[in-house]
Amino acid sequence: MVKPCWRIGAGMERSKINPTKVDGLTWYKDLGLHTFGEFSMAMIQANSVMEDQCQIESGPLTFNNPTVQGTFVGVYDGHGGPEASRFIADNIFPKLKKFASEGREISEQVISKAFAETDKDFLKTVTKQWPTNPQMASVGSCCLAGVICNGLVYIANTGDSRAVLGRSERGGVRAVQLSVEHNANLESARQELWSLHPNDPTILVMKHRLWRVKGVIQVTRSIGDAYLKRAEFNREPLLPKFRLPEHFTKPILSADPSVTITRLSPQDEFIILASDGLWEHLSNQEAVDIVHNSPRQGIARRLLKAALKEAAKKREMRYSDLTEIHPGVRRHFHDDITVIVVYLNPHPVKTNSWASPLSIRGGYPMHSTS
Amino acid sequence: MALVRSLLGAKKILSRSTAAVSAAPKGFLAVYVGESQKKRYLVPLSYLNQPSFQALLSKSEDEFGFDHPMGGLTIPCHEDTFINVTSRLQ
Repeated sequence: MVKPCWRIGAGMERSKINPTKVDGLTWYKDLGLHTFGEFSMAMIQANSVMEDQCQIESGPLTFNNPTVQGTFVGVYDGHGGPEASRFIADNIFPKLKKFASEGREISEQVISKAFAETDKDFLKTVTKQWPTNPQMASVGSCCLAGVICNGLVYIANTGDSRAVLGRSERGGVRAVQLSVEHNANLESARQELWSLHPNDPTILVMKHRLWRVKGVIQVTRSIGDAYLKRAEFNREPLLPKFRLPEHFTKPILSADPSVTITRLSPQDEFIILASDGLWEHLSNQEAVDIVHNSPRQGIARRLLKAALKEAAKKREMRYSDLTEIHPGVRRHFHDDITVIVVYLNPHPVKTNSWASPLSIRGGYPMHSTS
Repeated sequence: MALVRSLLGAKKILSRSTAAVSAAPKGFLAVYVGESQKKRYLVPLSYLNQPSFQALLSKSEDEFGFDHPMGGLTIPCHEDTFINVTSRLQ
């Protein structure tokens, strides 16, 4: 039923030492080594164009201080098109390195600045393309970034992807959520918007049984979505469904990440970073239990499969049938899903890993329906 | 039920039921159809590739996004429209 026409492009496989694979609509790297342990990545496409992107970078985190070594993990869940998530994957890590080089270290401020500049530069691109490609103004992306460095894990999040730590306890593992999410269906996100826009009675509107910012979007912070940040884009030729009826002066969405910093302890086994496509089918605890109780090899693909089995159950069909559905119509069954599992070692796994930086990018370009 | 079958001239729509819900047989999926009250049908997976069926799903997307309220695919059109569309599918 599915006849894939694969185009494997630059970035899909940057290193022969770290081959990544494609199977139908799934892209994966079953097991690799980062500075502080092993990792596993997997993605599956549901939209007609894959809107999720991800990356893992391991090695030096500055250009000028070789002692600052660590692992950077990014999950970017795009909406309205793939351009914003691809832009983040191309730009955020070099920006993080640039700002980390200025201060010669990683900090919350460095990460926040990388988010802010990535958003600013994407909006510049939107301005530049506005005369020929105005729909770029309605493209956006969630951005989840994790940095493991110096015994700390920084989790920065804009949007509704999620990072969950698996902490071993007697007899099992406990899920500890590290990310703060920005989705209008969370009370905290609604309170934030209401307090920022006290004079706008339609800042949040319930539509299709879900809360949406201005009745159009569920995430309350994002990269991109220029039409909700600058009033200059709230006009023709932007499609009517994205145009707001009233003028606004203050940006409605912000790109500011919520950042948490956690000191790693020997009980901390792994972190799962995933787009909301995974979390709509698996609870934090279900996901950490699967990781804790399964072999490391292929663990990200195992989580994907567990989510797809749930999706099939909800749609009252068989998992084997779900796997046959084409991208595009498949979005009615599940979202694009990205999952990265990063195992944690308190110390670098091997000294020579410092000499061979790792860089893997997933999701670009995937299957494209004609 | 008999009426539905005779209209279709085939047993493409195998069953409809508001009773206990279970996974569809291999090659089929559940679809809930109706404007207010939803009836459960089982349709072959191949319908998903048909433009006319995809048009019904677009209606659903306009109404619910991708969050189908019945769990199974939910199409908020009149049952007659659904039968009319699906009876033309091979």
